[in-house]
Amino acid sequence: MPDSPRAAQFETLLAPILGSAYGVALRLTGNRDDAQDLVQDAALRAFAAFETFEPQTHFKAWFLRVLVNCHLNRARSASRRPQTVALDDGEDALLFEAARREGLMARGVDPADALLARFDADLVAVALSDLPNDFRVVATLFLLEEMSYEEIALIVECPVGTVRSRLHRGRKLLQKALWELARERGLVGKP
Amino acid sequence: MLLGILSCKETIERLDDYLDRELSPQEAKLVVRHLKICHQCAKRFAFERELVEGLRRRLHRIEAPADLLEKIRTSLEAAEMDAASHGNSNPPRGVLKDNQGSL
Repeated sequence: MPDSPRAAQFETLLAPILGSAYGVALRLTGNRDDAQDLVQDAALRAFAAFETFEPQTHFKAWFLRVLVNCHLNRARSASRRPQTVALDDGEDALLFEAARREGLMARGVDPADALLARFDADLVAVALSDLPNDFRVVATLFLLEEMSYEEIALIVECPVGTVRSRLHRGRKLLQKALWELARERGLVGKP
Repeated sequence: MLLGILSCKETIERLDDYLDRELSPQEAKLVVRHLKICHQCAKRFAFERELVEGLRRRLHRIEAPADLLEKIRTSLEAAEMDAASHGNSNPPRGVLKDNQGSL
């Protein structure tokens, strides 16, 4: 435990949520070294602004807000220009229709389970990390932390409606990325 | 919507919000009413629900490295020492980097 009471208090709040913070950072950055670096950077920034944390509020949400901001700032600095590529969301119900084509709708079979059995954890992680940043952030908080739209909106500092639409598009983009990766790896047939 | 029954299109439009428990109770009731009479939409909803659950299982949490907290502690102590050496009770400006003062 640090000598300074301020640092000790900060560490007491940070330690229980460090696993969550690292998990989110890992999905946002796509690799362990960058994830560690992001969490450390976020911890320094959060500590610098610790006076603004209101003790009766949720430290985890507050810290994740700092972490997400750090991540987006880094991404912006790295690219120096906004993403201008038009995103093709892919068709509605892409994996549902794919499961049908793959013959997974037979009675007694859970088609989602049967399709997911072909996607390992690495494929899902890569597909998630392929999403553009705005979509990756909301999808990560939704899938990994199981947060509500309102909780996500507080972290990414945008209206709930924006979270709803990003999550809706993010799901479609994730399905498309999963399918394309699975095809590239020869795990599924052609659509 | 006719006589309190949603069409398939109206039901599918509510799919994400329903699965994410973001619909009002009244809207959720309308969706459930449709799913009871429409096998195709019910199959789609079940599929999308299981897909999200399956993705969550595959994105299981990976433990933070054992020395991460220690590394953070060291950098916080350095930030405090730096602040003290500058006669400032607040951490150094460099800590805030590009977004000075904001989160």
